[in-house]
Amino acid sequence: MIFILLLKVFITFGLRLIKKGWVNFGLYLFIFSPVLLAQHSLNFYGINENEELGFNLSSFNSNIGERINTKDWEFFISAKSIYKDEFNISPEYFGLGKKISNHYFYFNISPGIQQKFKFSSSTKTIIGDTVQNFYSYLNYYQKYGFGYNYRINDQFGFGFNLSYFEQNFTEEFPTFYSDSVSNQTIWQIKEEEINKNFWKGDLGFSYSPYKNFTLSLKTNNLLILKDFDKEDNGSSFTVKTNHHNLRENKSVAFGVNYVASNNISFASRIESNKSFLITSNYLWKFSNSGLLLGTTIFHDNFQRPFFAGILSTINYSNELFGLTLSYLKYFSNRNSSRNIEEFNRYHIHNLQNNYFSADKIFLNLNFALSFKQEQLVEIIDAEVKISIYPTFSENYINQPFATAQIKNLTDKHISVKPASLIETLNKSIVYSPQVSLLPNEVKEIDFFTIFESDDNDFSKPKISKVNFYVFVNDKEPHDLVQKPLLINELNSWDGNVSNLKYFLQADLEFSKNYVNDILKPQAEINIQRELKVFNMIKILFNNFADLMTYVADRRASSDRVQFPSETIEVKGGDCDDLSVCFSSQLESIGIQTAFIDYKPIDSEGHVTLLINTGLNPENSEILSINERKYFIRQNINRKNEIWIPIEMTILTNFDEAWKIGSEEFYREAVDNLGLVKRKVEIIDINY
Amino acid sequence: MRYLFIVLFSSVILCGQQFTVTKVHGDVKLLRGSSEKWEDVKVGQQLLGSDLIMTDTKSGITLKNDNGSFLIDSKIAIGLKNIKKMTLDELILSLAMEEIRNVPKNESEKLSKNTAVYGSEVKEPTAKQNKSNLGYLKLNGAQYLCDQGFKESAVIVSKEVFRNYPSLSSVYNNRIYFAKILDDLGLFEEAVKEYGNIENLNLTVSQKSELIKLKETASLNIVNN
Repeated sequence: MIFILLLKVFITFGLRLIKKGWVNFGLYLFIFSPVLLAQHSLNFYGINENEELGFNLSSFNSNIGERINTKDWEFFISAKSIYKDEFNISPEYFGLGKKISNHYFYFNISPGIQQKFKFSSSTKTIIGDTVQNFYSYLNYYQKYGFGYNYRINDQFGFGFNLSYFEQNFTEEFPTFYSDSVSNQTIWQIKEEEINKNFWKGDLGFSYSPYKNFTLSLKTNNLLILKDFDKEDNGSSFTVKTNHHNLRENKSVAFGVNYVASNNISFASRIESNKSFLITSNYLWKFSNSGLLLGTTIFHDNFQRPFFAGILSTINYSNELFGLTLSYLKYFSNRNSSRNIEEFNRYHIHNLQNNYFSADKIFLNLNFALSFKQEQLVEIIDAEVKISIYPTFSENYINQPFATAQIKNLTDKHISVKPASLIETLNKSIVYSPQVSLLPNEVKEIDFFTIFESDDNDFSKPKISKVNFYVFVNDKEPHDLVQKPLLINELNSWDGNVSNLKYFLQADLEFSKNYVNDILKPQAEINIQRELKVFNMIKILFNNFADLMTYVADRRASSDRVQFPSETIEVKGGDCDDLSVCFSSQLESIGIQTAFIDYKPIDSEGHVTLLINTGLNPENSEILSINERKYFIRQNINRKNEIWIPIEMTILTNFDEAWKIGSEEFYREAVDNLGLVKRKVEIIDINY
Repeated sequence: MRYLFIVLFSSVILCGQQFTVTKVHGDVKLLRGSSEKWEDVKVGQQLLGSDLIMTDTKSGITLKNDNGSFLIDSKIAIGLKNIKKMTLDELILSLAMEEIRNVPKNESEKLSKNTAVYGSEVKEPTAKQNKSNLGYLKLNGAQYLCDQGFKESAVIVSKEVFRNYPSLSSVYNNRIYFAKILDDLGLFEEAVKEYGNIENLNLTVSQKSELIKLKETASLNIVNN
């Protein structure tokens, strides 16, 4: 039998029926008829799931394989009122659910899921003029249950549940004995009781080929574990109690849910025992909540008439709670008296809905015990692309230091805010630009950061932790990944000449004071107006050359750079240090400079300076008769200006450094087309 | 103005960067490398590509290298590195450098307005030459290169002259001469761009009319190619 059931499962899952439709609220209605799920703790409450509203409504009660929308802890409680001349309210069940990632667990206790019968026994005793009746008591309880659900992916889910049932059968009968004192025959009522408890287990599956269309399959009575003897032989029961047992017929229920539009949806179930139901629902959606009306009509093969009853449901749900009121109305008279013969003819196939069930009202309340948000986006992986150089702190505003692959876990278009927190650098989370993700899209995103290098100790390199977050309009991140990150020391440099500007920028104030001290004594001397900038350059360089000694970096020149104040203090440096220091001096008084980056080919690269004299080419002859001594560049105002190349490692005097710098520049950058071939690059300092 | 005579191999591609002076006539000057001083040229002297030759009126010089000999007549200034046959690709690369050399557009003008101006008593950097005259001679040198079939080199030299000597770049005839060379070389997009630059000059009606026709023709050629 199990094999046949599993075969049906596979056949059913092979179905591909309906084309994809547009779903706004993603409502998977799952009105369940008790007809279809004998002996099962049923969901009478209309709605299993409302994804949009985000609150689950005990869907496990109908099919544990269905999508569970609970986000964290959930408490649920239900009460019912059965109409027997008047409505009497009693508790139905209560329980707890917990979702962890794609796993969902629940446990429930159901004191109200029970049905009791009292039938007159065929045994009668006549005492004098009195006929003494004896009774049979048949009591059925679903005591408790638990279940597990796992979402494999957006399309597939499965689950199982186990419920414990108790059956208590009691029959009264007379017993007679002789009183030795009075020598009379005396009778008394004696009760014989038998308990027939069992566990019942079932499997459920769901498959959603499209967002608005779900197929489901659920077994019924797949597993029955009895803790009583098979036969009640030897008992005094007038009718074998096996006749009273809840029916254990195995069956399978196949379901279809279809969301037709924003507001309307349909569902249908058909069971292998020829019972079926049809449901329609209408939803009004508000900002963060929804109101739903639903109607289910069902045919039960074990009840009469053909359509045994109708279930009307009204539900309100939001992110915090769901409240459902349902009314189950049977089309046949359920208040007439029953007898044991009738009971044994129809039996009970379902504890809550059977031939003997009365009209009921159900009130169900689910509410969240914690408000953990649903994960909308996932960080698949994060990668730190570069180590952090504290001096380039500004650089990381525009240059990503890490990237991550993120995935939109929803079927909606969402906007994601990436953010990061470098433990030793950031005091609070640093947000990167927002990115948009299409439904289920995987995208690579960049992480940027910002920090104040002054507040930290960067005397030694260190490893820090960086947390990568993704936010979606919530205070809490939807995912977090942690990675190690190398933070270099303050003088570290990545070899990228364009980043040298950060070293000169750091000491601009120092350089300005230093330069002013040098130039002040020269202030009174009158020179040709056009040459004033050029003259300042010459004075400053000659001063610089007198003070400095060119020394190669002790380590590779591409890993450490001195700040201008350090170069002045130690009175020397390599080409990077000297270029940075002199550039800082000129830039501090408004003279434009650019690094000339001679890219490394066979050996190490080289850096020197190109300096803007501010001279118009018309006046070039007052600077030099040789056009190979200067380089004309057009500024942003389309005005040509004369720039001069200076070799910063020639520390004899300005003229020599200019001459050598020019020859080197024209040979490598111009004659050999180094600028075009990217072997030489002019990097303007822009801070 | 055309005082150039190819002595031996008029069609020889002169791409060598080292030359020997075989004959000097009249006043011929030499500016070496990054030197600030003009020198007299002597027969037998070895010259390099980075050298600049300038001939005065009624003067001339004959140079020789592995590819042959040639004569540069009077009133011409020419950098020897330009006496070579460039490929079209080399020309396009060189033209690209015109953009690369400029300050990027996103750069802000950094020359501070509040900078204290200091001065010192310095001599003028160099002995003065007549700047415009040197530019004029260089333009002659560019025309010389063009006449001898080194059109690509001529374009590059003309660009340098117009950049260094703004007064020469505002003369329509100077500009249009070299713009047409771009057309001749099939560099229509570059030609249209140059015609566009020339449009910004103060032009006569006839000059404007000619320029429009040239631009339209070049534009059509872009479409057709």
